[in-house]
Amino acid sequence: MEFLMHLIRQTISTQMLITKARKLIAFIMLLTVSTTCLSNAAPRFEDYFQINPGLNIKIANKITSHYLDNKPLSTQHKDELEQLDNSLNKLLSKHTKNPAYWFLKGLNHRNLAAYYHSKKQFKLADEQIQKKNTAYQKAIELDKAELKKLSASIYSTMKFGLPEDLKIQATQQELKLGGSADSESAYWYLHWSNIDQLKKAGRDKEAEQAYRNMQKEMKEQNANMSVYSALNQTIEQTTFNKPTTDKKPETSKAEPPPSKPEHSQKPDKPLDRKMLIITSIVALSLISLISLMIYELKIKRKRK
Amino acid sequence: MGKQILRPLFFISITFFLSLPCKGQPSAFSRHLNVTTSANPESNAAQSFVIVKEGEILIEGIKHDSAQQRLGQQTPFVIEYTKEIQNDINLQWIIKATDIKHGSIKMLSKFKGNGRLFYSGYRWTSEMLDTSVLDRQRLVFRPKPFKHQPTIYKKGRGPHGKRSKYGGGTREIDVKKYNPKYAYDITLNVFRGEKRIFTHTTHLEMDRKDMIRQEYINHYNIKRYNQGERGNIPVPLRSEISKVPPKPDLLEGNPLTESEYELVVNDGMLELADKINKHYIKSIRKLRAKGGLLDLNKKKRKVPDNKLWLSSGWRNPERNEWYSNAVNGNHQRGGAVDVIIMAPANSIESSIGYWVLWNTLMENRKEIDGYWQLEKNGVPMKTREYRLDIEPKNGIPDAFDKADHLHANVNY
Repeated sequence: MEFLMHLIRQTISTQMLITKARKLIAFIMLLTVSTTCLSNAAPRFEDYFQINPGLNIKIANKITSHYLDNKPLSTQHKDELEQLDNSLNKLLSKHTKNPAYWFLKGLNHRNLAAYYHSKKQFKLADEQIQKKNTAYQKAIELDKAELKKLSASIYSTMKFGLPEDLKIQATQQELKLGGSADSESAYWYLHWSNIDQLKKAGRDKEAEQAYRNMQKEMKEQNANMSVYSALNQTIEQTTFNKPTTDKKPETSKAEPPPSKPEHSQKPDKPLDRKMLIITSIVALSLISLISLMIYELKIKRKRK
Repeated sequence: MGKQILRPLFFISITFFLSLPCKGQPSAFSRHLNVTTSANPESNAAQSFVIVKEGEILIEGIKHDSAQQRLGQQTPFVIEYTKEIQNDINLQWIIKATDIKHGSIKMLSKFKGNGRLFYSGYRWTSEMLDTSVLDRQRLVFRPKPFKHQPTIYKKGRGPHGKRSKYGGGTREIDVKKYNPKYAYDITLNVFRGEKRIFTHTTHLEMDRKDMIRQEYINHYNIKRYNQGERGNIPVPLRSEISKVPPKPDLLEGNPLTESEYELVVNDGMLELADKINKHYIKSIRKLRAKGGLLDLNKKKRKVPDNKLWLSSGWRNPERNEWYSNAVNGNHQRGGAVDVIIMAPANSIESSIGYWVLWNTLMENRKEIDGYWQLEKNGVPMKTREYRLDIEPKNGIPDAFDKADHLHANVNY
């Protein structure tokens, strides 16, 4: 990289700028270097949070890196995090209503809390957590109100450590956005999480409604019930304290999922069979009638 | 009178029923057409095949103990009319790709023909071939290689939870854009002069094993977001793809694959899942007998009797692409499992469950002999999260509060 920069500096020197060809070479080299730099810049925020809600991506990537990197936290980290907080405050004065910036602010406070906690400065850590929760609350409120800029992954990050009501809101938003985990099972477990939180908060009717919604969605999505009926039963027993009514179905000693008919054949198969039966009956009766008529005509002629 | 009416009626009905098309049965393959679809004897016997780009070097043999070798180049399809024919006989070959998407073929036979795109697929018809045409009894062609779709990835559900038009991969099979089942109907019309006297047909079609192999071929050497590591997972041999084995006893959840192929590559995931589950159950029983476990604040916590739930085993590459960021993900090798604690996600019960599971695995690491990590949104927990208790502050390290599953794989 340094070598390339050195080359560019040389290329752009006054002597070199004399000819058009050299100018062109300099331009091409600049272009190459800048595109290499750009392509090497890890789009961490977009990668992890699965969205680019039109914010300062450089700052967003830095905060995400601090959140995701598995490095021991040093004083240098703290300084950088504080600088990032200042930059965010400036940005927030311009973009007060952008929930993504409020989320970033909360995430940065969370990073700072991790730093203070690792240095056993628990009071300072708690202060940062408070600030984080306030920022996340603002993000959730703004996003719910109108902007809808935040992704399921962002909600999944925000929900931890929030007060009960806010946590429920974050979980429900995450669900609305389709969840962010990487398996079908994890999505149904997120449903269970929502039901369980509502139940624990004493919002029994909402919990029951959430359970009904989950089952409705399972049906709509054609979930493999030979597998998921075991989950439903456990939810009923543990969350709703309902007694076991019948024996648990054999949840597949690795019974393979029921084979679904292939795409193209799905709607065609039953229709084809029906059509075949109907056409054969109609055709058969027509042919029988015609042949009967012809036969009778022939007999009549003979008699005449 | 009755007999007079019934007799012709009976004959007419019989004739009518016999003339009805036999739906659902495969069209009879002509014994006079000798077909070569693949150098692989098993594929060839099933008139199945995989499509490899010319000049591409791919490795096959995916399991630990398999002797890896270079996957043979695409064998052209050769359909040979084996019957001896007289000089006054003319031939006409017809190739019908069963889907528009598989239309492009490279004709290697010397004779000419015309291709037309129909709604139902692509049809190529040769000119009338008389004795002057060399090798008119051999039809030789190649299908065009499949291009992996799409080239740019976005992980997750996409805006407003709509996943289907977002990112790559599919959970289903035989999806045109991603993992289509290639198939060709071949017809040979035999003419005497201008009168058609015979029609011979045959059908070339990828079977499920080759559809799976084709997915690995299509995903060979790809990158996510056009950067990072290249995916270079070997293509499984046909013998490495088998029926789904039964799941370990007392392990809840999915079978060892959720794939609709109903086939699996098992490179140790079954044994690994079994070991993890047995040790976990043992630990839970032990801790419950002891009255619980001590949290970070030295407070005794009750250990719930939650089972493990298998959420993911073997994934075909398209399914892996749908769910995971890892191009080289071990789920595709059949050596990895994901398990969930059977409790509401991110509840205190699930946190305790993951803590017990983690400790169990660490205590029995030699016997389990694998690699594992707790993950949230497909990203592993950080080392410090196993010590710190920041959010929520509940006496349980954050890693266990946040985890949405445990990923484990055999050592690679």
